[in-house]
Amino acid sequence: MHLKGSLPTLILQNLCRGPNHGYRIAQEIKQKSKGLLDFKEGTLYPALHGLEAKKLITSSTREENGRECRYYKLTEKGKKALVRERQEWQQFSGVITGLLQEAT
Amino acid sequence: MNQRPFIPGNGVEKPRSLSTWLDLATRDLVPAAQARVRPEIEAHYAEAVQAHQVNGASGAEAQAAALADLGDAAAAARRFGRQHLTKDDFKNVFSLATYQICLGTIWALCNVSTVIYTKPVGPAAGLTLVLGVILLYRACRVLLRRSRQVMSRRMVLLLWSLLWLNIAGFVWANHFENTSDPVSQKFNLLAPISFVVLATSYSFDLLRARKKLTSGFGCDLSSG
Repeated sequence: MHLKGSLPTLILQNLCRGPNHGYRIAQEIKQKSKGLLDFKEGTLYPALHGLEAKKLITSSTREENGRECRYYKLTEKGKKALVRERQEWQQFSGVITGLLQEAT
Repeated sequence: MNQRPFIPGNGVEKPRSLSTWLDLATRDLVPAAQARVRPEIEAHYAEAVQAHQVNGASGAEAQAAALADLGDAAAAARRFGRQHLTKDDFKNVFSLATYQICLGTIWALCNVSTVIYTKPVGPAAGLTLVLGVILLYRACRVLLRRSRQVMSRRMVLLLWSLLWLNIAGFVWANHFENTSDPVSQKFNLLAPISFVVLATSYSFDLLRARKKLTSGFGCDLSSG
């Protein structure tokens, strides 16, 4: 299933449970969607950097297993954006579901 | 069999190693942005390879799978180019800012040395005006494109300063220059001196930004 446009929201949703790094964010999104939401991992980082530029998330580096990992964390602005995104998505999916049910 | 060589960006053949993938994905970015992106992808790749090996893949298979998971490097390059400062943007901004500072400094020094500044006339004035409009237009475009993206804060400040200097110069040239009003006369004296001081400061900023963005070491663009 194509993720176009919804990846930033899924990243924010993932980070609302606590700080996380890129690889784990990608794997958790894939696992939670039972493999239905598949995306190329190279597109995750531009999305993360875009959210960071908008100050919706912040990042810091940590040493983990001898490797430097960059952890991302949701900001207050990011939390508000996530609430807004959830509402918009629920509204949108509700409308589409209603229309599709009407059609059948 | 005649094999077609890998030429980054033309989509003939996919990169076969992480290093090639990264070269292609970050080819347009300034070194400082590359320095931000590369270690992160390298850490991601190492973890992915490890995970594939845990699932039973051999070393080579795990590496190939991890590389495939990263996806199209050219697509990643386009996306990174939207989030980070590119080499083209930097060259554009740097040349514009240098040009502006040089032009402004010459104007200011002429004004100080001749006391009564004479505006350029004829084709020189037209050319200066056209160049000024082009500079402003291009600086505004870069600012609008980059204002919400990860880039050097100093570069943003530099661009805003550039715009401010243009506006201040325009106002000065049209409203204060060659008037008998005492306030304007004071301004006429102070403006060139202020400009020389500011231009010197911006020149240092510009050189610092250049060093920072082109060295790629110890630079975190997100923290400006």
